[in-house]
Amino acid sequence: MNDLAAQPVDLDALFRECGKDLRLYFSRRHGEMEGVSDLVQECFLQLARRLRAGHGVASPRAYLFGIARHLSLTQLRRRAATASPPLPEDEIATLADPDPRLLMAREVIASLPTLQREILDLRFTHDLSYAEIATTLGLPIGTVRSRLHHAMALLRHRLEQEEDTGSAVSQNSSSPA
Amino acid sequence: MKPESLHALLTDRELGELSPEAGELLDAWLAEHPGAAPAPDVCRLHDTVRMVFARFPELARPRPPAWRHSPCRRGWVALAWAASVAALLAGTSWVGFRLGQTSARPAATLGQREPLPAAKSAPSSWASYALVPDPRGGLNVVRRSP
Repeated sequence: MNDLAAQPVDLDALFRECGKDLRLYFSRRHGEMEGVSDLVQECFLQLARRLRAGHGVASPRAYLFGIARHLSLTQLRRRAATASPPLPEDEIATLADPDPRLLMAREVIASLPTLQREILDLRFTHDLSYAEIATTLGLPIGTVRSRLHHAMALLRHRLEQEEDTGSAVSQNSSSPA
Repeated sequence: MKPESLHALLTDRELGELSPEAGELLDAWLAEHPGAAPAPDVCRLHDTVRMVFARFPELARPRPPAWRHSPCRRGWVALAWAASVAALLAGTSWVGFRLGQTSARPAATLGQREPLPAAKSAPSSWASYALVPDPRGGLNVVRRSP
């Protein structure tokens, strides 16, 4: 799946480079909670165990995000089992934003399947490459690419529609009766 | 070139995922078709996505797997299991019945033929003994008369 060659890993440097990103990743997915630092530590611990066992890691950053995703899903299942309610869609929709383009984009992205949203988030928030996203999600790189393209095409289409409608309305309102 | 393909290529280039060779080909094509796809639109779209994810972090949260805890879904899963087990049992019973039928047929046809001659073998030394009921109870081993 990944053609990157395994390379020696400097855990200290990796922690300086990725620790903040992983903390951001967890806090964005679960909200600000106490256990974020523990989860970040767990990611690095699992990576260290893997390295100590003599297994190579092609892309440590992608591997760390993969562990982070796994831990995050486990955490989510535990929360669901203890009947913690998820953030309802209505609550998201009540957040007021003056820019209708952003609101429309938010609506489109919220309507995407979870995996597609994850791909967009990993790309545009955490700046992971397609190959790193593929490793993180355990998908072929072609799938990552096509799903991202599909999401962007849908977004572009909806935003263009919205802008066309908006400009038509403004023309109608400004034209003399 | 289809607009979707062009936008996909422009997206890849904007994200640094397009090889230099493909980038050169794309530039050459864009030079021939200047009004095909405005690159600033692609950049603006990417900026919008970045801003949306920054402004609405809840979009990064995965939806919880609610179906695992739904009693309705659990009922359907149990029903599906029961149906599969019943289908398996019915299938194996039918196969067994058919096998029994087909294996019984040659035996019946064999019965109509002439009986095979009994294999002649030398009588063993045990043939001269027999079990007879004892009037006092139990069985006795007695030696047959030759």
